[in-house]
Amino acid sequence: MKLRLFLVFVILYITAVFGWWLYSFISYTEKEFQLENTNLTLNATVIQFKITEFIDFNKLDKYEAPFETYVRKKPEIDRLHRDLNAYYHVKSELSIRDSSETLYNLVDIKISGEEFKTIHRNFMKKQRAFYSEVIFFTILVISGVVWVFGKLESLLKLNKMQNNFLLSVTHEFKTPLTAIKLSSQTLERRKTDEETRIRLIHQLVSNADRLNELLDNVLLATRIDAQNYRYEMKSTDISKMISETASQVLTEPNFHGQFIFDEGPVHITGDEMSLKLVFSNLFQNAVKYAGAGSEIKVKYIKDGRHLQIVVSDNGKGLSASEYKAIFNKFYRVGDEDTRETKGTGLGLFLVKQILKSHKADIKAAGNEPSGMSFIITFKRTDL
Amino acid sequence: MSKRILLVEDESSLHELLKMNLEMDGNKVIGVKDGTSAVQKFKDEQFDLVILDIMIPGIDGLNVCENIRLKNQEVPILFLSAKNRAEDRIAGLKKAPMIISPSHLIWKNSSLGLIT
Repeated sequence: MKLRLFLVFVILYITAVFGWWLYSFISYTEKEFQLENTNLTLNATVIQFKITEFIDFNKLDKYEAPFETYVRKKPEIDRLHRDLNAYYHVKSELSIRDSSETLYNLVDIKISGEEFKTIHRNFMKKQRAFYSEVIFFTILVISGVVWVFGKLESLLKLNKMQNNFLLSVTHEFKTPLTAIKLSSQTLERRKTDEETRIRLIHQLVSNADRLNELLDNVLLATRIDAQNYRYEMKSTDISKMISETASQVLTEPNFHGQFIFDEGPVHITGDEMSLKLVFSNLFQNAVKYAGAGSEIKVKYIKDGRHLQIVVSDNGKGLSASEYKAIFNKFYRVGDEDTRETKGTGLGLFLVKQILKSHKADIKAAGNEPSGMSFIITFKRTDL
Repeated sequence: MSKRILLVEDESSLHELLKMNLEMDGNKVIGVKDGTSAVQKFKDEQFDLVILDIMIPGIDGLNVCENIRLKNQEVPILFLSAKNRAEDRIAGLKKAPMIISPSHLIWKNSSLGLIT
């Protein structure tokens, strides 16, 4: 949240700086334009005065014969008129005399002709250049800032997820360890009957198994993530492998649901060890999220070139917005303290990575009337 | 002396082991596996001691503790946690007398005697 606020502040600051830059450049060119404009107007006025002077016959009257003066000065007056017409457009001309009979030749002028067009064109060109420059740099800088902050935020998020992972992994390790400690201490310090002793030993073994499985998962995840794992691809009866994996889930004391399989051998080319992990992860998830009494279905769908394996349960399912995210590394459904299930957030990430190495794809979807399905698509190798 | 203990722990192996040991000490243990049923059980019955895990489904342990404290100021509550995070310990300490690890709970049961 703080980061976002800071981002908004930085963008506002950049916009303000560039805005000020634009404003000062535009106002500078505008001043320049006005200055040139004024110069031209002044020139026009000067020419105007000269003409007025020449044709002010009242004044000339006193010293010279008007006609002769006019004739003598006509070429010069004509030249001035030409200049005036070249640079300026004379809108109206009005000659008046005041009470002392002085003639005023009032000319309302407007700059015209090539001169004005050129300076106006230059002005527009400069203005356009400034606009585009400023807009370009503003977009460049803002997108840069947004990119950097986006990266930073995703890094922070990954970091947080990694911390979450460490927390949940520690918890996951501690629970079986505590159980092992408690069982062995009970065996050591109490007089127990035979039945209790067997229960305690069973607890020891199953918790050691759980620790072992957890370590395997973390190690395999590290190896697959570092691309250190070597897949041994060979033709495998995946339906047999799946029912073997399911039987492990069925022997768990907590599980009292059922599996429903499609029959018949289905062959694919793949690495058995990692594929077993895929299905044991999917089944464990189904048991974990759909409850111990859930019904887990495995269906095989063959079409022209693909083999689809659909694993579905009848639990509560997930919201559609989470279908993609659950395959992310360290992603966990819900909040760390109040979530209903425990885990490391590695399972489905591993599943996706393993299937990717088999050139297979996995998608999550809802199941009717309730629950989740995972649809795995392999390319058929039994053709 | 027999006590009635409400044990709230969702990890089935820990739940079973704790229950087994507490019963071996001659206590009557009522075990539940989630926060909602813990609150319900406490409403329905009388207990001498509540042992609570923090990370449980439904309502979390700290909220269960709050719920219990609204009804009963006297009953001792022990938090059971494998978590070591300082903030958990502090959050727990504000509401309950102590946080204890499972093996401490069973083997240093002199502390159990002091509380109840």
